[in-house]
Amino acid sequence: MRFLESLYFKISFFVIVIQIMVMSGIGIVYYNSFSNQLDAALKERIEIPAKLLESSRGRLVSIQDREAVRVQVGENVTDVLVVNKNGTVLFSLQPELSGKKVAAVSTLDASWFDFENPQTIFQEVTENEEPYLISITPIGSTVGGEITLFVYAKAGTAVTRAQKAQVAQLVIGSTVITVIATYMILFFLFYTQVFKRVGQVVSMLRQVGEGNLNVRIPDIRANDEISTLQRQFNSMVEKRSQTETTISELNKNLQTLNEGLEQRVIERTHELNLAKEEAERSNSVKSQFLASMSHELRTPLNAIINLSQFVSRGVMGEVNEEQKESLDLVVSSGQHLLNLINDVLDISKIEAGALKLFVESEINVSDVLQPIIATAQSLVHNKPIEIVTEIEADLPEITGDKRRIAQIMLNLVSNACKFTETGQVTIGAKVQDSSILLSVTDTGPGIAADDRQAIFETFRQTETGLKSGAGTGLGLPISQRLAEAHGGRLWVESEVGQGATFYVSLPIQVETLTPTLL
Amino acid sequence: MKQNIHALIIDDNRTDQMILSRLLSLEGVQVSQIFNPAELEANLQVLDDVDIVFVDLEMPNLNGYEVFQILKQYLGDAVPLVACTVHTSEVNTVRDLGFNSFLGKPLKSNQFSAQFHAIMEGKPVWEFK
Repeated sequence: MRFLESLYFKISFFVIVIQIMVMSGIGIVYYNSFSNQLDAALKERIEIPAKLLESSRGRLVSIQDREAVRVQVGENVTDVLVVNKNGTVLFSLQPELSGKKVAAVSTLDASWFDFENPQTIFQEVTENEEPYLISITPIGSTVGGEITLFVYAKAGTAVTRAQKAQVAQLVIGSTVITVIATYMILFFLFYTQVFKRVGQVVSMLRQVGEGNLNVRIPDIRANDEISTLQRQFNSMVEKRSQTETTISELNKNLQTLNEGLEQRVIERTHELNLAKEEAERSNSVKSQFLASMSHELRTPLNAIINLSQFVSRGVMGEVNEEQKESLDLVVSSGQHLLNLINDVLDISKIEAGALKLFVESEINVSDVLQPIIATAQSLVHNKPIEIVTEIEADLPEITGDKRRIAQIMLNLVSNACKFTETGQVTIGAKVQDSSILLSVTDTGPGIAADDRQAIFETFRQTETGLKSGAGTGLGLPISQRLAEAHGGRLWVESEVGQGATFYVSLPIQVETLTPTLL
Repeated sequence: MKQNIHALIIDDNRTDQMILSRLLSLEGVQVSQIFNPAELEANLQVLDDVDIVFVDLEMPNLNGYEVFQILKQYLGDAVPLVACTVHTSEVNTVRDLGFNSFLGKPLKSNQFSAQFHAIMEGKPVWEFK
């Protein structure tokens, strides 16, 4: 902040300018008045001789007494002369000039005493570098009559000038002193009332800016604007300090809460982990149980199926038609039961992630499909359905689990035959990209959009499925998982009323499917 | 294939023994049976005349794998050793261990003949569905 921008300068400048103007104004007025007074007084004195003569109509007797005249005109009037028409000095305060001719006095100008054109003269002259005032008045002997005399009076103005000068100095001096005094007083006032206090506030604000909230302005006694500022400062810092305290407390609380929360999260995660492990263990136990039970469930079927078959075939003696039929039913029921158990076993292994493929290389897909085609034909023998094959020649051999591939295709083909009443079922196999694409197309009722996902979910049978009876609802989900286990995919394309095609793609080469025994 | 094939069945389940034995006799095979595998260790000589051995995997006292070790040690690779069990998920282990073939129970009587001949001809059969 430059000085010219300071509050002090702004205020003091105007104060002092006005002060100067006022004091000058007053001073000038006073000086003029005084000066005029002096001049008037001198003029009065200087005109006394003329007045005396006038009132006595030019009779010299009125001013004969030099001493009296001197007293009356005062010390400043240095000379009084009365001059007649002849140019003779009839009277003079300076006796040596009496009787002289005007022309003989060097200090007199003859043109002043022009009886032809008498004029009143009142002017300043300089003699010997001293200033004088002269007054020349023509006097007439009668009222309005001819002029017979001139009265000349001279007064030195040096004194009055000096007096005037003195007054002028006084005026100027007092103005200057007042201005200086005002300047100093103003400065003092500003300093103590404004600079100091404002400066204090500024420096304390700086401290607050740097983070020190402990500063307070002490000892605020006044009640003016700056003390208001000071009090506001204090209260602001106080509030800020309180706010900081509150904030830091809140932070602490937050931190505590956070820690508490973290702790809870850790605890909860631990609990969840334990629960998860428990669930997994339980699941695993169930899966193992299921797996082993499934195996156990199959044991009796060895006897049920095979022994019934032996008898039915007459291996243990002749049987009649009815016996054969009955035993065949036992056999087929047993086989059905076996299928159900196998499905449950498969799905439980799949869900437990424990399904293992029996991988072999050089699987001829066409060979795998042959028995399935045969099965298909037997499934539709009593329906007007044709089994069509579209198997490409020279399909490459693939690596995989032969039985599982057969299982998938058998599942798809049985479904196709089950759900189709008339038309055809097409079994296809061809190469596509680096996979073999198998397909089963039927001319059945098709699958609605909503169902296309549901059919692959375990234990979900669509309405159509349920209506067509016997089944676990596990065939398709198992088939899909088996396809995926081979690194492939199983999906369906279908519209209601336009049949359905199930596709299975099996990669020809899959890295993770290396046979365990080569 | 020579006549009078002699098969040995090692299985503690009498019903299963009966079924397999019947299937084998239908093929004209002579059948010997061991119900308690502990007997085998004491009577290894019964193996001298055997052309094929069927081993159940789940038996008390000695399980099929231990039996397999004994058989392998005695017979080497001369005779096909067939695992015959309801635990079809063991098929990979069975193959890795060195069994020649695997027949899952329940046995498929319609396919047994073909399977048996294949095994006797040295072709491994892995039937576990």
